[in-house]
Amino acid sequence: MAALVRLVEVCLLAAMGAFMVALATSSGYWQYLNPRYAWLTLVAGVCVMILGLGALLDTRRRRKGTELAGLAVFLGLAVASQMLPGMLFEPGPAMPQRGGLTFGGGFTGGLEAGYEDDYFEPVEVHDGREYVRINAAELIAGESGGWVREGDLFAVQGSVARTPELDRAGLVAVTRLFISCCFADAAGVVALVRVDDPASFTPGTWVRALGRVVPIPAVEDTRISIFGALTAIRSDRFALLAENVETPAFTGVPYLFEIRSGQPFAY
Amino acid sequence: MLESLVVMTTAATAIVLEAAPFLLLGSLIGSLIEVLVPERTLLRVIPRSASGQVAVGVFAGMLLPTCECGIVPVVRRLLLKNVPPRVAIPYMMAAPVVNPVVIASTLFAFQGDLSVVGLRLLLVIVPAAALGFALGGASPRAVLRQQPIDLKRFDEAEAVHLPEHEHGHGCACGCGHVQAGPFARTRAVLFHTAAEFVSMGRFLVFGALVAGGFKAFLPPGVLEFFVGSPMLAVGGLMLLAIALSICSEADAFVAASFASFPVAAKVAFMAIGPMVDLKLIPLFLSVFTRRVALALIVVPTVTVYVMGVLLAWGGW
Repeated sequence: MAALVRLVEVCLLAAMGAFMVALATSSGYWQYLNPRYAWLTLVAGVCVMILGLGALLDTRRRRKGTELAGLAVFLGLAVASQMLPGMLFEPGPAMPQRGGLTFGGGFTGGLEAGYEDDYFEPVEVHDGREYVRINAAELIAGESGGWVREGDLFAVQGSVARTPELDRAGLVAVTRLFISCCFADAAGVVALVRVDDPASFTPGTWVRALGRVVPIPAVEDTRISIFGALTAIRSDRFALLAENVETPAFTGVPYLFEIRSGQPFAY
Repeated sequence: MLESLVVMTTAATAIVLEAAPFLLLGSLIGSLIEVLVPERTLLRVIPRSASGQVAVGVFAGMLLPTCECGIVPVVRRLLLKNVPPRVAIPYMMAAPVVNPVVIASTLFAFQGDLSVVGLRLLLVIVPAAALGFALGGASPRAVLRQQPIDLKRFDEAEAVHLPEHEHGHGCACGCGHVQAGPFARTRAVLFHTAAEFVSMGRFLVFGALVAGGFKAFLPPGVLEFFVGSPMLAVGGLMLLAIALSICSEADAFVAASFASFPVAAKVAFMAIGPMVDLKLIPLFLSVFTRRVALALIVVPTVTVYVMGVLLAWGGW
């Protein structure tokens, strides 16, 4: 019986390590953690597998049921976190494909964590004018830092969120999820975009908005809800006056993993 | 409901994945201390005075940064090596915050605001030092509940015990040291690390599961209820920090997102999380005696709350 329990522990440790290695080398790593930590997960996964080998050789230690249960629960969570999103979300413009490991959008994910060069094309040209590509978090940081000023031209992208208060102010929220370390610490960031008809935007739709920085119109207190985030940070001084809004078919990584203070921004 | 389950499972898995490398490192360091570091070597570098010991514990994280996920196994081993609680306990409470990485991330998240960093350090150092002074008189082993992991797992034939060893330490025979060839020592470290990782890992997993549940099922508007008064704001964000169990290197970014809360509440959020959270509470209760574990939970909670409210009343 003791040998069987030991074998179960070895299998659980090996499976845990294998999951970590597979995840770290896949392009789906970003669903859980900031890709800059992929190497750490890879090393840890290999170490856990080595510990499994150690557990195989260790014939003297008495294994506790709760220890095995802990490993089993983790594996159950890992499998569920890969399977459940596929039941919930249709692959669409606003959500990445979950559970699968293929997507294209410039983000290479996994060990090569980073972005392809053209993904950081610093500006977007529309009607002969250059709009600086920037993400919502950088826009807010720029406002605080004083390097985002009224009249500047920017392009932002994100998932649309609406509230009655924003609708009344003629605004829509272009939202992203900013992940510093892992999904558990994700914070929502919002760029407010002034549009003619907020009602024409479907919440959850991925949009790319080009616009000019203008003072934010009066808006009542409102709570903007973002998938995976408890709170959302938004600008309280500026909004973008939309000059062009598109709803491209989005196939990239919707989350943000870095905030830059200069071009090219982590658009 | 399904969307909440997605958030819960993803968040819980992410917490374990994020913490696992540090728990591994902590288990490995603890094992290396146990197997390779003689007790006298450790005791030689520790000051004799109480305040010196507490100061070493509080600031040791600047030299040996360890996050809260991996620090408990290290501290347990330090205590088993007779390192005074006056050093080990303040180190355990303070190191996840009083270290260069977390100071830098806090500074970045709050856009260079040194006052936030200073207040965060203050709110961590005060309870850590208080616990050090309060528990300092106890013998190292008196604060531990759990028996050390049985080292008898490696071949006793390969192990030659030091003749002058003291019985009652971590090994199977009761001694603390093993004199053996490199192979036997490597095996001892491997077995030790595996046992420690599996033993501590279960608390991490169950804590992460509960924390993921909080993230998923907490009603979205609940935070707004706490914004009204400083006492509620500080207490509310502290409860949230305990429930969410966010890594100390990332919590500043989450704290910065609580735009409608006063600075004092954000600082309290960042101070209490690395000292007391749902991952750590079961660990404390399993590793330390019940009285000490309660002190490790209650003293930081009360101290941070009182200081946070005072700061809020002071205009922060």
